[in-house]
Amino acid sequence: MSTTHHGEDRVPVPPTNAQQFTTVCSYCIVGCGYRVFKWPQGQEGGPKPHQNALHTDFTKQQAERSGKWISSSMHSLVTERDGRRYHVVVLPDSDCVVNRGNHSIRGGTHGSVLYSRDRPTADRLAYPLIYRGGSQLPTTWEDAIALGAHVIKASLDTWGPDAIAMKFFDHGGGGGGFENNWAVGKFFFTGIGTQMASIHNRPAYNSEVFASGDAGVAALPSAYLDAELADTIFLIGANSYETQSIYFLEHMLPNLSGATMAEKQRLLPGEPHQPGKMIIVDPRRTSTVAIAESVAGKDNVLHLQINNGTDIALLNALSRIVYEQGWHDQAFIANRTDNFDAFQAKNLTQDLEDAVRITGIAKAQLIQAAEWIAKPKTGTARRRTMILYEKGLIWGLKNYENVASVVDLALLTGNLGKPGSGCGRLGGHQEGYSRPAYPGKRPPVNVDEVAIKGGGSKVFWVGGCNPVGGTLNAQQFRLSMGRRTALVNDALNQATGATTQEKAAAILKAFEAGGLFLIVQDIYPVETAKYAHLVLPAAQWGEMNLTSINGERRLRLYQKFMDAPGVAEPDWKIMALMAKKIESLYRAEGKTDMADRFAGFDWRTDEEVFRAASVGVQGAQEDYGETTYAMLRTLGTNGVQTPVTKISHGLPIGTTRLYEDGGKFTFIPASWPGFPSQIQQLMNDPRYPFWINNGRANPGWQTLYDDMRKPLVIGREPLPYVEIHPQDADGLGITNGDLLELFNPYGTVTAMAVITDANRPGHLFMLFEHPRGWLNSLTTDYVDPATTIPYYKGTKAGIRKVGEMPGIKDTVSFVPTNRA
Amino acid sequence: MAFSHYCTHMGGTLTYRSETGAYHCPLHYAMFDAAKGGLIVIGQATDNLPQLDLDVDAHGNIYAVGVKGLIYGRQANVLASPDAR
Ligand code: SF4
Ligand code: FES
Repeated sequence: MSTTHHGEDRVPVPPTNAQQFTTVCSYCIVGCGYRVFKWPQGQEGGPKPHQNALHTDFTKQQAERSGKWISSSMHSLVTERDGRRYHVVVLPDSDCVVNRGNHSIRGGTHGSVLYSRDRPTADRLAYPLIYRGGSQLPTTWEDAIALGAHVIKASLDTWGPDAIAMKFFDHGGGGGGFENNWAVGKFFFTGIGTQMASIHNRPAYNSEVFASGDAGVAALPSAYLDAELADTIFLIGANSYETQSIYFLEHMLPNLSGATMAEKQRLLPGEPHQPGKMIIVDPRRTSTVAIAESVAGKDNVLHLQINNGTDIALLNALSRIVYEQGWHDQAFIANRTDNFDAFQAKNLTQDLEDAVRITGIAKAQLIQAAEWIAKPKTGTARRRTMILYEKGLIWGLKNYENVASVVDLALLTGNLGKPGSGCGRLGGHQEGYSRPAYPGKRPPVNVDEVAIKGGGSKVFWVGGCNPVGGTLNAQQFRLSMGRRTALVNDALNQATGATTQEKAAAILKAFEAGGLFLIVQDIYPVETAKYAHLVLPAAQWGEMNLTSINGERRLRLYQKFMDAPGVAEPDWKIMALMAKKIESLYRAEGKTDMADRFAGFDWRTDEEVFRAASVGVQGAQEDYGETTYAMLRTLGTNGVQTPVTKISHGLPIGTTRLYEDGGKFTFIPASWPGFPSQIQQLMNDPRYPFWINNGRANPGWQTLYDDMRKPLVIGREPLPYVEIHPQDADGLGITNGDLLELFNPYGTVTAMAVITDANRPGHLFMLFEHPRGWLNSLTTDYVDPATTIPYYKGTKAGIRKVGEMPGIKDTVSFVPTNRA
Repeated sequence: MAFSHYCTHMGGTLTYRSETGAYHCPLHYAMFDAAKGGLIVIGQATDNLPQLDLDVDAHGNIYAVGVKGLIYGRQANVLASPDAR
């Protein structure tokens, strides 16, 4: 008997009078458009076209790609605050130019994560929780905010702003958006003024692409259209079928298959065109490689199976070949760039034989890649190459020079500001960043080390992330946090019946002994929340209006269509509650200066915060100017691509691609630095023979906070897994589904073995950020000293077989995922 | 053992490949494990592949008596009659 999960075998159809909303996927950067239908329980549309809101004939089997099929994962029955129940359907939008009705497994399962009292989402945080006598008990907003405000204010008064540390989302899409980001930034930077700020997935407050910014290139310069027009798409450090799925399927693959030839000829006349080629730099042979080969033919796809941590040597070798062949764009270099000499002296001196040895990539492949990137099509027609990178590069060794060397390659070949070109991030989350300036310096302080492990801060406020597993060197982080928060627990355990002020005083005493007061703000009781003294329930996507941009800067309104559970509130409102309370405490003391720092949180609507946040994006790629919610409602799922240049006839006019009309750029010199001492020590120790790479996989999203509640996804990935080469598995007597312990001096974790030839022998790939086994327990404490960005993608470990996991092994698939 | 041959992503027609033991979709490359109840191997489908419950009568005739999950392109596994309502 199979234990494979199947959804319900019948879904209700929206009636013609169903309420309708537009929104955008809450997950990845691609930002697929969705339509939402909502109607009361007990009603249902009929099967004939005139009887339902989809105008579809449900008496017939639909054709493929109908765009009208509601799978059971797209539907839920929700309960609102007034107790009424509604059907909700979240359907991919066929009219959205991003996805054209397509969707991934992530976005296509939104129905499963709407709050519902009788589904796995029933464990949403609905009320604030406060630590009392060894438990976390429900309480009122007033009680929770009062304790938080007294502790924060007393810490600020006693030790100054850096006593308060934070780690918060900074992105768009679910939970983020310009609205929530602005309020968070205003609270911590204008109000508190702390330098001990860090971004959800890393130990500091930094750009992940400082080098691109220094070069003058915004992170998202291109349009998805460019992937349809490019002669060559160069992907480095990205597995796009699995992590930018619909960008890959709807915009890249049609180019590789030749389906965009007519569009190329129409939009780019006067030069020869062919179906696109693709270069993929990845230590793994991923599903992306297999699918690209199957669509374009093996001759048109080049997989460069790079050694972990050696991207700079590769990129500089490619630049050198391009330059020596005379394939560089001399006019672009002369007119649009400076600092070429420094680049030439550093990057172009990369020895090619050394590059072959360091990267593990054959010289013939390097030459072929350089040709595909830059060999002109004719005497006058340069190749149009789109250079796209993501976490493999950003979180590789080492962040600043990794990004510099890829941007340098784009500048050398003139691939910015013209159709079919570009150099930017593929992206993870969507973007929605707008905040007052961070008060710290660059490189920013390592908050994990200084504020948490080092004891530098007393209060730690974590919002929308799960650092006990998500941050680097996570085991040490977790243990430090556990020790320090327990000191505050002890103080509170003794203060039974104490008033808020008495509790705050007891907590302050515990701080002197090294205690840490932890506030966690989230939608679910994530693992980090288990250590918290205050847990604050946040609203999620669909429970507030929010705005964000996608990977081609497409700004849309994500409409509210249902209530948040219990008394949960949008993050911006929670920040406002705390700010107002602190403000009132200072006013009561007559400290007007301090009170004023926490003033200005009196917004009444989501849109008022959106308008307030516009000042934070002026002149940036996100600049949305005078755009309003009403304008965005009119523009629906297609929105407008920022920067908005003007408002015309009541609608914003945007920008398809950046730098078409100019822009000056700077080469940033970069050379391969070799491995840092932390990695070298592991490399020199025979107890840790395996390289550990890691990343996301297709079904799940980030820390799996939603996926733990999606029976489909958690059924597919009940445990984290680690891919191991058949040779290594044979040597250690490992079979598919065995539980393995992976260990090194930094920590230990278990994962399920999946035997595959996707990686080279000696190289493992582990699923990252699974709550049942955190890969980051193995990552070192190394960060790039120039940017404070970790080398998450590379560590080394030993492995030991623990045993079999009967019951789990039988329910998962071991068919290789890279067989298209 | 029998499965729906419509992919639970957007309805592509699946083909079985013995070298993987999986059903493959030509539209967006979903794969479903035939040996694991139609479990998604990889891909953008939002349900595992619907599996038919089979029954064999005394004459060896095979009947589908039920379906686990919802077949692509339908609101219910048995289509509503065009004459309904
Ligand atoms: S590709 Fe990204 S944006 Fe589109 S549906 Fe999937 S997760 Fe959502
Ligand atoms: S229809 Fe099968 S993968 Fe899309």
